[in-house]
Formats: sequence, C-alpha cells, structure tokens
Amino acid sequence: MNMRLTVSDVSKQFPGVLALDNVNFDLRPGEVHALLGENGAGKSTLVKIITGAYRMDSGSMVIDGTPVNFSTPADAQKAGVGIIYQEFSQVEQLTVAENIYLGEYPSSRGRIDWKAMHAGARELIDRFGVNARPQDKVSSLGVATRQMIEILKVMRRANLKILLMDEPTSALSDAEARALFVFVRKLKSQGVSVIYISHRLDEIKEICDRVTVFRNGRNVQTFDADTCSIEEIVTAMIGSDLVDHYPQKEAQSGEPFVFVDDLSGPGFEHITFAASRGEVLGITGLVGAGKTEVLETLFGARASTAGTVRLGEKTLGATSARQAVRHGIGLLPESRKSQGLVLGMPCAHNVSLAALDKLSEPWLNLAKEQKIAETMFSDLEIRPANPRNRVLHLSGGNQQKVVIAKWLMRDCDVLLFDEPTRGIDVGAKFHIYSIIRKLAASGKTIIVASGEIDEIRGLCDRVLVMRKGRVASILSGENITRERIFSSIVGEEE
Amino acid sequence: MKSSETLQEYRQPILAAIALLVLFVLLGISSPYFLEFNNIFNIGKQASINLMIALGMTVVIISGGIDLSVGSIMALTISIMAVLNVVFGLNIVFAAVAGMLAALASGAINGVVIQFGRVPAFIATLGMMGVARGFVLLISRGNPSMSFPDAFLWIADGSVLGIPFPIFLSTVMVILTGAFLKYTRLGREIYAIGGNAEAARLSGINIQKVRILTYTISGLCCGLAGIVFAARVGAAPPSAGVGYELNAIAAAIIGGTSLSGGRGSVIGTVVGALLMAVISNGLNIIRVDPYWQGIVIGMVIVLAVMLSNMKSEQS
Repeated sequence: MNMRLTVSDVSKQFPGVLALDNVNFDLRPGEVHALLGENGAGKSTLVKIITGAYRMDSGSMVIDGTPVNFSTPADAQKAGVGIIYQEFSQVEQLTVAENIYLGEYPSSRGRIDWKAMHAGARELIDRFGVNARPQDKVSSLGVATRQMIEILKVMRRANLKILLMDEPTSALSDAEARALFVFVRKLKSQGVSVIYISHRLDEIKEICDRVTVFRNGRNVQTFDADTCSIEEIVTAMIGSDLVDHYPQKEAQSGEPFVFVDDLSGPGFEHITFAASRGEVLGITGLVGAGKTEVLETLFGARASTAGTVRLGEKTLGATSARQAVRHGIGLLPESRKSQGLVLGMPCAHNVSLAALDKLSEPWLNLAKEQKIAETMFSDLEIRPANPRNRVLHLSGGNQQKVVIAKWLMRDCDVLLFDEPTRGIDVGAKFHIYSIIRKLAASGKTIIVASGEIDEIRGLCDRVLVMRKGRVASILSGENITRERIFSSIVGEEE
Repeated sequence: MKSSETLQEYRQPILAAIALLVLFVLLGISSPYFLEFNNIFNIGKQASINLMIALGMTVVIISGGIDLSVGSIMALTISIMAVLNVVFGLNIVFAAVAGMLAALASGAINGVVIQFGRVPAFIATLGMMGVARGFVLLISRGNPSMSFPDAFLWIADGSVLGIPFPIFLSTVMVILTGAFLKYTRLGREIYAIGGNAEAARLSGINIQKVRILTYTISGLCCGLAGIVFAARVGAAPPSAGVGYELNAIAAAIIGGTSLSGGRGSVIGTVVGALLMAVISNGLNIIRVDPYWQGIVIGMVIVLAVMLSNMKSEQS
C-alpha cells in the first residue's frame, strides 16, 4: 500500500538532549494513528518536524511519494499538513464564515464577496455535518464545535492530507467528545489521515486504527488498536529498563500537619487527605484532572466552594495568597516565569520578595538581604552564584531554585510544588529532587503536583491520584509503582 | 554587578545625561548669558515643578500604572487654596493644608478606582483629569482675580542656604523619593508589582495597599508642585497645569523609566526633567522661535525610547 506519510530514521538533537533518535513512523491514507508516550518521550518534537516548526537533523520524510523537508510551517501547510492546537486561533467576535475565510476573504472588485464566502462555508459545514451556521458568531458556539470550525478553516486553505490533533478532547465534555469523533470519522472517510495525540487510552481504542508508542526519543512499538491490550501499551510506554536516579526516601514522617477535608472548588470536588511533617505527598493525574486547581486552592489563590483546610490546629479561613503566606504556606507555581518570579529584578530581590518584613528596620537592610541571598545561593548551589544578577539570565533549574530560596527565607512549613521540573533539564531535575527530599527531612510538609509518573513515583512517600476532579486513589509504600499509578490515572481499576 | 552591566542598566539615563552635558557646552558657547548663575537658577526653577510631578509619575509608572490627572490635581490644590484664602479669608497655611489634603484624596481615589473598580489606570486617571479640572472651574467661577498674599510668594522667590526654595524643595523630594524606592519595603513592593503583579500577589504582597499608596504619592507630589506654582504665579489661573501630565511622563520616559513597569530610577527622571528645561531655556536664549520647543522635545522623547528599545532587542 502507498503510504500517506513515511518518516525514516529521523533524528533531532537539542542542546543536552537527543530528542529524536532514528525515529521511524508511517501513516496510511484515511488512517487515525495515535502517538503515545510520557512527557519528553519525543512525540511533540516529531509533530513539530512534520508541521515544519522544527527541521530534522538527519533522516527523511516522504508525503505521497514526494520527499519533503519543511523549513517553515507555511511550507507544511502548502503540502497539505494541518494542525489543531489546544488553544484556538479564532476571532471570537466574527462569524463562522468569516473565521473559516480569515485573512483570505473572497472578493470581487475590491469588495468582500459575502455570497461566495457564505456559500463556501455552508458547503464545508454540510460536507462534514457540523452543527453551526455560517452567520453564527464563533463566541456563541461550544468548544467542540469551535474545534471543528478550526479544522474546517485548515481544510479550506489547502487540500488537507494530514491533520495533527493534540489532546483534542482535553477541554471537552463526553458528549462533545462523541460529536468530535463523528467528525473525525467523516474526515477519515474523505481520505484525510489523522495523527492523534492523547493520553486517554480508552478514547484511543475507540477512534484510532494504530498506536505508536514513544519512549526516550525512540518509537518503541506500533500496535493495531483493535487487537492490543491496554497493558501492552502501558508496558511499552513505561519500559522496564529505566535506571533509578532518585534520592533515597526517608522512612519515617512526623505527625500529620496539613488536613484537607472535603474540599471542593471549580475543577475538583470532595478532596480529602492529610499530609505529615517530613512527608512528600504527590498529586498526579491527567491534564485537566484538577491537580493545579487543588494546589492553588490550598494556597488561597483560588476560592473554594466547600470544605476546610487545616494546618495543625489552625483552620484557614476565607483565604487569600497573602494569608496563606502568613500561615507559612509557599507555592512554587507551574509557570515560574509568569507567576513565581519578577524576571527583571535581581535574584536577591526575588529571594526576599515574600519576606520583606524581615529586612524592614524600617529601612530595608540591603546588606542583610545580600548576605541571606548569598547563603541561599551556596546552600542551593545556584549558578551563576552572584545574587545581583537578574533572574532573567538564569536557566530554568536555577530559576526554580530561586523560587525555593524565596520560600526558605519566608520559613514556610508547607511547600506546594506545581510541576517542579517542567522545562528543566535532566541534571538539574535530580538536583531539585534532592533539595525537595532535604526540605522534607528538615520537617517541612511537601506537596508535589506533577503529571510525570516517573517523577511522582521516584520522589513521593505517598501518591494521591486524581481523575476528573476527584480522588481516584491514594497509594503508599509498595503500591507506588508506575503500573499502579498509570492504571489509576486512566481509570483502569484492578 | 559588573560595571558593564551597570552601564547597560542605566544606559538611557546616561545617554540623557550626556545629551544634557553636550547641550550645556553648546549653549554655553553660543550664548555667554546661558552659563550665568542667574540663568542656571532659572533653569532649575523652571524644571522644579515638572520634576516634582514627574517624581510621583515615576513611582506610578514603575508600579505599572500611569497618572493622567496630575495637572488637574495640581490645579485643584491651587484653586482650593485660593478660594479658602482669598474668598473666605482663611490663613494661607491652613488653606495650603486643605489644598494638599484634596490632592492626597484625589490620588487615593485614583488608586481605589483602579484597584477595586477594576478600571484601567489610563481610563481612571483620565476621568479624574476631567473631574478635578471641572471642580477647579466650578469653585473659581466668578473669582477671576484671586491673588495670594505677598508673604506667600517667598516660596517661589526666597532661598534656603543660597539656593532658591523651589530648587531646594525639589532636591529634598528627589532624595526622599529615591530613598523611598530603594530603601523601603513599600518601594521594593512597587517595583515588584510593576515587574510582575501576579508573582507579587503570590508572594503575599498586599497589592491593594501598595497600588492605592502609589497613586496617593503621586497626588502628594502634585499638591506640593501646586503650592510652588501658586507662589510663582501669585494667582490661581483655572488653566494651571494643562498638559503637565505629558511633561511629567516625558521626563520619566527620557530618564529610562519603562512604561511597561518594574523599571525606572529617580535619578533618570531628574536628568529627564533637566534636559527638557534646558532645551526650552536654551532655545529661548538663542532666540529660536518658541514653537520649536514642542517639536524638539517631542523628538527627544521618541529618540530616547528608540534607543532603549534597541538595547532590549540586543539583550
């Protein structure tokens, strides 16, 4: 059979990481093919090469018998490759037809030809059975329909041959996801090939023809979606050859300190757990399972709708971030740059940001500030070691350490880490892990939210798995294995 | 910090200072009168009112905001003083205190509207600009010739330690504002909020308090500038301070304060205000048509920002 797309021996090197290592992949006409793998396994790098956002270092790519090597996304579009992102690129105030034709309105004698535009849009909408009218405002439509409109926009531009969908259902309800699947089957029947990226194994079995699993920059195995079992896929994803780099866990933790009782809020409900002094508690789950929401609610940055949070004997009232800080809780947010740091300020000023009262005598004691920052820098091994540098110039790992230093100067009892190693290279990752373990050993309560199963498994004393905003399970001791965590995340209870 | 980094950091105020020096030399050569003591003091006096307002503006801009109401708030201070003193016969000191309180309140209202009313600073202060000016016109209606007592005029003409009082006062304010921004908790928090309000909030900083105080400080500066202005003019013209917001913003921007917040320095604003005063004074002395002043200052502002943006693209 002639392949729609053949990727042969493609490699891509980034500074310090071999993101793709001789990857082979093929796509049949009218096929839905899933890409699976943990974060950093190489899926998104491959996607970016296919869509022209990155160039491959070596290897070859053939679309319908023609060798291609895109240098820009526009090249890829011309060749019939389209991608739908999780975020839309739509103008909400305009109509469906205007969005489908955005930037390329049909015109005659300098004026927009509305008739032709609406007729064209109507034709596309009917062909794929989308539940919308050309004159509807996009802002009035549901998420799934907007997604379909987005796809129609791509379809109109070029003779679409390959469509990449990145976690298309992460923002959809079950009913909306059904509607999207019907639409994807229509695309298939018209000969469009789809590369489908998702973590949801159940939906992959439903919509996909084949599944290719990535691990550590390599394609490890390709399955037929009909015949393979979920266990096979999971084993391929996780592998069994990984070396353990994680710091030693301390056996005993202290008395329980953080009590969360029946906490509910936007994105999660009925969360109950306790965490002890000296313990590292992990919270994991899929994107959208509610990890970040729970953490930010504990910190008071979001309002809860029901339930209580207690620290020892103290109940935290209607909270704000300011109160949480006063009670000794520190949050290390997922997006360090936009939420954790003032990038334009020197490191030393960032370290003291949450503890300015300690320097205020009432004039700020800048010498003391400098001295504290220097001590933190040497304790946490932050490089370059000069706290007068702007945070902007530090690497991701060192920036994260500056955020840690900020909360250490505040003397927090409870530290909440949201995706502590996102965007941080491997060496720095393990350094962050050992800092986290040391903080726990010094009696602090640590709660880590992360989507990386391996990180959660290697780092945490107990693991709380969330699914669709609820606690799916709490694992501890021997039960913290990749397989158990994974099956609990996707909803395969044993 | 390495000296090269310091240079990079203060590049824009340094460039402005160099421009200032070059202007001094050129004007000194072309007119012997320019470098006379009297004229230098004149420049200082001319710069002082704009500088006072620009100090508050610098604080506001560093916090990521803007204050368009400064000229109107200054006029409000003057008119309240004049009405209380001239029409109602209140002692000038109490009248001045009342004027200052009005300025502080106007600034605080700006802050409250921006923080709690969730109105963008540009719009909230644009509104205050109209409201305060309206009050000025209302309360000074029918009192066209309000003039202040002679003793009060000392504020503009008198001197302390041989330095004209307006220059003395603005120098004290420069030192205080500089120390405030660098050596107080509030000052640091203003930089933090301007640099990244979300990170500041998540670090437990009381954004509401800081923001309201920031605009109140701007009001305070306008009030003080109003007193000096009143003494200088000796009366309360209802059009006092029209267009001053743009001069104050220009002084801050020329001095390297970033309109996007988080960056700026008092010393830069001083250089900016002096540069503007020297340009208008110098053009006057070498008998250039005064209409050229606006053209030249306008170009200087754009040039200053162009230079600073070239810098940020390099880094």
